Amino acid sequence: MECVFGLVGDGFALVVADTSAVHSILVHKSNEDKIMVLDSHKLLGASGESGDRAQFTEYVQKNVALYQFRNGIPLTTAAAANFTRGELATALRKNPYSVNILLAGYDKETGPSLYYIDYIASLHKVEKGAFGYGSYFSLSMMDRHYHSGMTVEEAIDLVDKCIMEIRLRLVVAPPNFVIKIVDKDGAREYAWRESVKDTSAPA
Amino acid sequence: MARYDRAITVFSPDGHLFQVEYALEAVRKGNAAVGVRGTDTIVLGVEKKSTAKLQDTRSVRKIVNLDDHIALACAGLKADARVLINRARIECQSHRLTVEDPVTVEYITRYIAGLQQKYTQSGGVRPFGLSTLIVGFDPYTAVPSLYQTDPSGTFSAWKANATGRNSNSMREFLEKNYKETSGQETIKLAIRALLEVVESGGKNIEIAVMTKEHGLRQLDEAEIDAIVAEIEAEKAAAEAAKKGPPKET
Repeated sequence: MECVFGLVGDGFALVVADTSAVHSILVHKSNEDKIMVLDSHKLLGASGESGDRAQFTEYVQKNVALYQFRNGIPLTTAAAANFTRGELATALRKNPYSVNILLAGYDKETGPSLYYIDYIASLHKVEKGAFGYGSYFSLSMMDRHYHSGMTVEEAIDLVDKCIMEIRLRLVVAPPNFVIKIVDKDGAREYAWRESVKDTSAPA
Repeated sequence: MARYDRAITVFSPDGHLFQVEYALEAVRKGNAAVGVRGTDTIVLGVEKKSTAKLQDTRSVRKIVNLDDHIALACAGLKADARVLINRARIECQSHRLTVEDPVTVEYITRYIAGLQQKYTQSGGVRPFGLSTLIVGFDPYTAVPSLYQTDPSGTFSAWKANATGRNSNSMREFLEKNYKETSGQETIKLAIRALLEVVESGGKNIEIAVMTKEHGLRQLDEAEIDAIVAEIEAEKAAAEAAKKGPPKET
């Protein structure tokens, strides 16, 4: 029931992910961060098998860092996306990773961009994308309300509409979501949307 | 493809590894490099031999980053340096991936030294012809460190050291003048050591400063020239003071 979706706005890109770590019928935690900050201006939102998710995204992050040290300049978003897809493709017919990825980034020359990379190594550059059962609702919502060049406020409004729709219509809807943004000032957490706070045990 | 199994680095009758000693000769011919450890700053300096007029100087980086908190300068065969630096950079990221912690300066020094040693005891290869000066701040403890490795694969920690051309003169100077410094004083000490053997001026020296907060920062020519001018002024003042006040007639 993992939900990851994202969209590109005017000079920024947003990635939203649910924050529940689930194993069969048990919810391990509801504040799991599934959107990795790949480098100063890239976000990697991932959903799928939790072991593969952590392993693969960390591997991509370290390779992106290595590129930067070797070459003195960071990878472009497109290059990072193609590298990620290439790794998934190489592993596909041996030891496939079960991870779906939305890679968002901001490049000085080309502005914000969003890449849809699924677990069988398809790569698409998109304006809006979504994975999981939640995609049935968030994608439809975005199809209805999205237009290119949205402001941050408009985009967050759309994100909230998507989250509300998921909460309303998905049978086992995740309670909490995290929203991260990337723009010319870098990649950072924007907000959380929590309907269930993690409570500590009574003393 | 046949394996290379004949060793090139073998013992001489009197217990020397000549290939390693020849490698050290190569280091002695390389450009001068100095490292000074302060309490909160570590400085690396290298001599910039006169560059060809048509060469793009920015493409010749002598002090490099291995990670956000580790830097390296070397003396000797620059092509060998490229290979070693590449392997070290991979190891820095690999360490972060497997144990989710950045390397300590000692760890990466041990790794580089281990690599250099391996090439003195493998078939078909020659030793790396370079000595490195590795500086950095350990993660979490923020302890500054300066290490040196050489072609034989030995390494040790230093308060200040020099390698490459005229390293003995620089080391002598450092032994005479070293004291615990911080910030600008550490930079001055490193430059003063380099100036013992290098022609004065910003365009003959490359200096990089590593601090805990800002990582590695390369000083630009103007900054270096300013500090060199300060040092010359201090030297002149010291000379004048030595000569003593003018005698009263």
